[in-house]
Amino acid sequence: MRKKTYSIERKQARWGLVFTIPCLIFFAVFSFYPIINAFVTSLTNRRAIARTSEFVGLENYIYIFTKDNGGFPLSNSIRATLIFTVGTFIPMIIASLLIATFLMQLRKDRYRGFFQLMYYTPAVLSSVVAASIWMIIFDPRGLMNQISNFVMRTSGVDYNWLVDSTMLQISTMMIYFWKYIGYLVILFITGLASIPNTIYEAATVDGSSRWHTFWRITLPLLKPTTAMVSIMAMLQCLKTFSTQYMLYQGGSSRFPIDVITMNIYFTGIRNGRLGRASAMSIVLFLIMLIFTYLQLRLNRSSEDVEY
Amino acid sequence: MRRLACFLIFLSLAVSTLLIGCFEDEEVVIEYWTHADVRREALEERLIGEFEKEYPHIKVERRILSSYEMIEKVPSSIEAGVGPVLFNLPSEEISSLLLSSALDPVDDSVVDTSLFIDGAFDAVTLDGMIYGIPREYTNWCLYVNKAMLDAAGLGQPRTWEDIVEIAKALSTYDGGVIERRAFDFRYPYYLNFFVPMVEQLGGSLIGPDGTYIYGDEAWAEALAFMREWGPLGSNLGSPTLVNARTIFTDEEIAMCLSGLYQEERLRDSNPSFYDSDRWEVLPFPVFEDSVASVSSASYMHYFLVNADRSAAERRAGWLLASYLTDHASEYLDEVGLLVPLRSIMEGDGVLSKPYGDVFLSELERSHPIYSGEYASEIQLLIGEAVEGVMLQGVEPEKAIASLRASVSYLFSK
Repeated sequence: MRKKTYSIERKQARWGLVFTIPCLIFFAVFSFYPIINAFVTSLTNRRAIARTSEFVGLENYIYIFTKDNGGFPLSNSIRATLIFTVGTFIPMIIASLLIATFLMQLRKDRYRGFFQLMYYTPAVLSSVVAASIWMIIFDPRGLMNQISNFVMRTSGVDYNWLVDSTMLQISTMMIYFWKYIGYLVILFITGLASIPNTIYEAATVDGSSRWHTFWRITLPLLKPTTAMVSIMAMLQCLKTFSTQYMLYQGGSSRFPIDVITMNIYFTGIRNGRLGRASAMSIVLFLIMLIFTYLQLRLNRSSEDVEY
Repeated sequence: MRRLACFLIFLSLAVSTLLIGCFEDEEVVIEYWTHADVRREALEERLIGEFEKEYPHIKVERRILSSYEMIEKVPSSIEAGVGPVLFNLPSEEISSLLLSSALDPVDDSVVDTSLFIDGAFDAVTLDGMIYGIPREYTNWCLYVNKAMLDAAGLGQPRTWEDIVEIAKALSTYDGGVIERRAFDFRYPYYLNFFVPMVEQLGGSLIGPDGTYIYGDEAWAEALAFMREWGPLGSNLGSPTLVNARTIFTDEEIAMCLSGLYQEERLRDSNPSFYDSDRWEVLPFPVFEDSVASVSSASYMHYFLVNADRSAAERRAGWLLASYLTDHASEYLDEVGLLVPLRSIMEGDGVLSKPYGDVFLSELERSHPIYSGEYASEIQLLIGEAVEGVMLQGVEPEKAIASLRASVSYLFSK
């Protein structure tokens, strides 16, 4: 009888599968099952606590796209989410890349470590602490009004950071930016560190300026990291909740900052309409899926980068 | 044979006695969730210790949450099947749990409901069954820093117009930035203070004809008043600023709305101010053109027991609720909380408190807060209407139309 033989590649693939099984199980239980469960729930009129549930087909989807959901329509939530996402994730990507590049230029490791720690600290603060800090900063007598008056060369003007619809949206963007920029900086630093020094040395020998090196070498070689970071940042922005919620709890109006997750929360938890909230969750899931696909298409050539 | 029969009878008696003993002594752990109140926490810690000594098989795990957290976490934890055994919620946050059969009916053997005042169980009664024990009975009056008003030569406020006048006189600004307020409302408890303001002007939440948001003129006038009060009007206050009753104790604001319990907090935080004659409590203001003399809506916090828990846990929950209620006089003396027992409401305890008579007489002028179906959602919707007008510049008429549509929709399903 001939002994069955396997190529090295097949053997490696088998081990690869073995190693990924725990992750697949984890994903199936904690991500895939909830998605399926949410979809099934979205086809019912399930109410919280009452635990009654009847199949209603697409009624919830028709409702959330055609009715105003007690004054908080999904269309407004999509608007608020998209404005927040565009207003936050693009500046975050640009700023984190610039900060990471600046930190990589620092010659002494301890300085770099200090700045990395400084930028990352807000990310580990709880939302409650962050809320307390920012409520003080945005208070009419707080730092933001003082800075705004200084920058705008005005005196004693209240810029209504937590009151005016536009300012309120800008406030949420600023808080989110402050809280998560450090995380993206760390990711970019990891990407920058993986670019071999020899490439920079060759560029220096060829007489390339710093600016030229950044545009022609750093940025193209950083494409895979940029793609990964931008998709992650965008998805995080689309899922934003705690920033808006903490401002709402601080007394600000809900409507201008009623992002999709907040609408899901109020519809499902406060109003107990789990079927309707699940339909909104599925819509958010689809939005995230579409945006991720578009981003991947835009960054398709990033896979070609080789050092 | 007789010996064997005797032995068997003895054995069966011994076994059954042992089994009963085992079940009686089986330890029951009850989670008790309640909202934060420093003075009440200290009292309840002692009372729970005494309770555990009296009932050694019951262990109480108390968890303190903020009022917001209580409103959000109790229903969601019950939905998830991990709700506490015993908890308390205010009148307006109970209806969804009540109508969903999530609450356990009161155990008659441990609570004598006849000892409570009339109407004490209204918010927790469904089809003749009672589902909660009232633990706090609250109404709000106007706390005034007399010294601040006297220093500015201002008289006692009786009307909302007086409040505006005082606020304009005492508020300080750096340009357009408000630095010190004189008074502010208790956002976001709009069913407690805003609906009574509407009622003073002739409107109501539900009209005599059953329509919602009854009396457009009254609602519009009250909303216009709030707009004028807020940052887009005279800039006298805002829901985004620190709540007034917190800074009243530090003498940073001249007036605030609060219940009798505020006195004990005042005593704790600022004893010299409490012991002085620099403060007083006045009736809830009315509008000059009021058509009804209505005070702030009264409300109760109820002890409620989770129907999902085992019979032993539920009984233990009611035992604890009853035990705590039996110490009503200590709640009044040490925390300033009124348990709506006849003995408390008709006794001298309340009157012995500073301005206790004002709170009692104001109760006669008030009515219970709306606690029917969708009360919690309605409060949020009223909040959105008021804040839309105050902060977003929404026209009162538009806010009313939107509010009515939203409330009507709640009931239409």
